[in-house]
Amino acid sequence: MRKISKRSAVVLGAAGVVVVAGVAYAAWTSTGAGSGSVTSTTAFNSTIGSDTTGTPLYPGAVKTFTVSIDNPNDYPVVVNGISAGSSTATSGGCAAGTVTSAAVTNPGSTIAAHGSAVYTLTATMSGSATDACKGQTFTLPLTATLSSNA
Amino acid sequence: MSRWRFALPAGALVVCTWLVVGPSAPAPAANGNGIKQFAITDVPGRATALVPGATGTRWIRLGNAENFPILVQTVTTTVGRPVDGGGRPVPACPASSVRVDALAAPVTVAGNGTADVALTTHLLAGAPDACRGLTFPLTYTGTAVKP
Repeated sequence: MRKISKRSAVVLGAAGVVVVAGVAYAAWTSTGAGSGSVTSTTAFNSTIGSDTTGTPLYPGAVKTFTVSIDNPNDYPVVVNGISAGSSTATSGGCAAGTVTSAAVTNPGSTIAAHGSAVYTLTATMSGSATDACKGQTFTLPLTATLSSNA
Repeated sequence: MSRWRFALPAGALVVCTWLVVGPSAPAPAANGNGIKQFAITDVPGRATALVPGATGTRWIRLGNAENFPILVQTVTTTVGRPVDGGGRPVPACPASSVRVDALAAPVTVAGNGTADVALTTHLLAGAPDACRGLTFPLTYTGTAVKP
């Protein structure tokens, strides 16, 4: 039987390496496909509530009071503004509009998800308030605008 | 002379090498063109609602129909036009309001098995109000190799 020389062995070995390298390079590949969906959350309106009524008013007085605004959403919000307010008529006969509050723009602070924050407003009692306005509690409808702030 | 003796066998070996390597390049898979396509589906009940400016997760399930493991290397997602609860398109909310990140790292899926992975979702902070309470269709594509 004929012997393989050293040089032949080297050539055979090199060829073997080439074969192995070729097999290793031929990776099996595949693709995947499918479909799904995601949904966006809905938005819930915040509520403005009375926090403190402040010190008692008298004709011509300007006093501060605070309101609390909550955030029932799953995301933080920021208050962009709080509208001006004007009191409704009281049960004691004090005329509507006797007490007013100025609008506030960008009062700041982010309200965390499911949190609340307190804002200070200024109330002014009309100088022409009548005696019917003594010892009354005034309700001022207010509206706040908010936006997401995540 | 001796040079020719060695050169001829070497040339023959090279030809043989190509014959061996050549046919192995197309993978001998079931569909004749690679591993069977793997499935990508949503994992029921495992999605967080999209919130403006925040990230959430969309869990997906990778399904391997082969009887050997595969390594899923990429999964990318295309977001389609959103629809409301009645299935009606909402043009005021662009599909670009939502983004889904690509698969963060390769995942091995066992033969005839599944693997659940989470993709990160985003709803842009400046998404319009029209984007509230909508469903965004997703189309997944991915690539895998036999490890």
